[in-house]
Amino acid sequence: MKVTRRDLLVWSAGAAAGLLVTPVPWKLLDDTSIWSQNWPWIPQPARGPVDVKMSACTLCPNGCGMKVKMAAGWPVSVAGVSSHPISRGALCPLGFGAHQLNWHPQRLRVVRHGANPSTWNEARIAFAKACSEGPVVVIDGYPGRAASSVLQSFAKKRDGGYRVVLGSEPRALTPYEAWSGVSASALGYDLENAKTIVSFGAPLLDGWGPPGRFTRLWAERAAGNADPQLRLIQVEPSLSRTAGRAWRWVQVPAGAESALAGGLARVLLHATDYAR
Amino acid sequence: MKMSRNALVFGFGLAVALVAGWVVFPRVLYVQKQQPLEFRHKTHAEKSGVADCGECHALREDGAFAGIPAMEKCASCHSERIGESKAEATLVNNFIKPGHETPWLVYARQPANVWFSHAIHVKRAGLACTECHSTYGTSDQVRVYQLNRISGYSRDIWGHSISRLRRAPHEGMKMSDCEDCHRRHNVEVGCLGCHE
Repeated sequence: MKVTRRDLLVWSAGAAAGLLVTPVPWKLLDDTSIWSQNWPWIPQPARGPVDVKMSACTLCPNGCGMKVKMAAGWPVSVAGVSSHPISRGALCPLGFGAHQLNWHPQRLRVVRHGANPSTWNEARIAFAKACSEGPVVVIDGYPGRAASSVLQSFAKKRDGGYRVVLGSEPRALTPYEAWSGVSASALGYDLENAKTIVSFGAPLLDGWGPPGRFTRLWAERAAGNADPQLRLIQVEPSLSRTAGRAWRWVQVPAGAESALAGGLARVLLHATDYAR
Repeated sequence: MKMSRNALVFGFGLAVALVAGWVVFPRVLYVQKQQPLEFRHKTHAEKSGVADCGECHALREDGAFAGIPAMEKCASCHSERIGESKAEATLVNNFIKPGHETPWLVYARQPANVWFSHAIHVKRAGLACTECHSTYGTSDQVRVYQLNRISGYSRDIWGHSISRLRRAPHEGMKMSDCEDCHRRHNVEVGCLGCHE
């Protein structure tokens, strides 16, 4: 019996129809979807005992409370700490993904000395050589961490100096620090007890300060109320998200905020009505 | 004549596909692996007086499930050979004396994005071990581990029935199985309940 092209086509049609009433298509679809989750270049948490550690975030100076779940001693998830006095359970998106920074595509993958790839040994030798040549100055880009005190102590022992790189807010407070003699790091904002806040362009509802602190306060005492318990007066040239939600938006020309602030300060200091 | 020939060829293709899909495919998909050690739950229950699963498969103080007991637990009785069986010699010589953990092939191992708490299911929901593990705790031998060549997980995740029809309640550990069980017990869990 001769097998024709037509026979092959009819046979294939029968096989295709038969295959559809077997588990093959659905099972293969399911298995390949799982297989694609386990490709070797996809990071997988280590298998091992699961543990929870309480910590504080060091990605910015706010130091929000963090609850870190560890698997075999390796962080696998991060959550906020509701009992933390400042962050009260909130974290910023970067903080929530802090455990994934180990796999950031732009992370440092090799030891670098100067601008060139190097080895630990070469870097160690170069570091020891530099230390032997004289005092060492440490510039700390993220002050306030536990490591910062180690760096500070090291610089002191090497007869050197310890310098920190200030964020935008501490930099803005530097003139006040010089004028008042009060350290900027000793200052804080008593937002919880404030009735009225006059903000000069501070993005209070756009991620300012410790994550969740102001937004939570806003939700509890101001959001949706025509006459809120917490009155926010936003002084800003443009209708930002914060200005749009504020109790009052004071539109000023760009750069005129300091003039308005100076005028307000003068009224506060000299107005007889206020003094009484 | 032509019609009947076409029907015959079509039917032949259909039959080949059905046999391949229902009989050959499962045998090709799964590779059978033996556990590194022979273990008998029944013997341990009868001879050692271990009456409760939790005596070996304990929950830690923080509620986390300790899973398969560590070698220290086995060594508390098997520091020296008990009996003359080959399995006993393997246990003592290959694992306990060198201090190596037994590389058990875990039937219930799930992808890393799945979080499951035995503590919640056993303590809060009050489920008996047998509801999910059937009578495995009284079995007289360890089952053959069937590894899925594509996904890399055990056949127990899909369930023994390749069609997933007419399964026993404890069979299968797919997400739909979790959902079905939660529906039966009228317990709602969102995505983050299992996928933190």
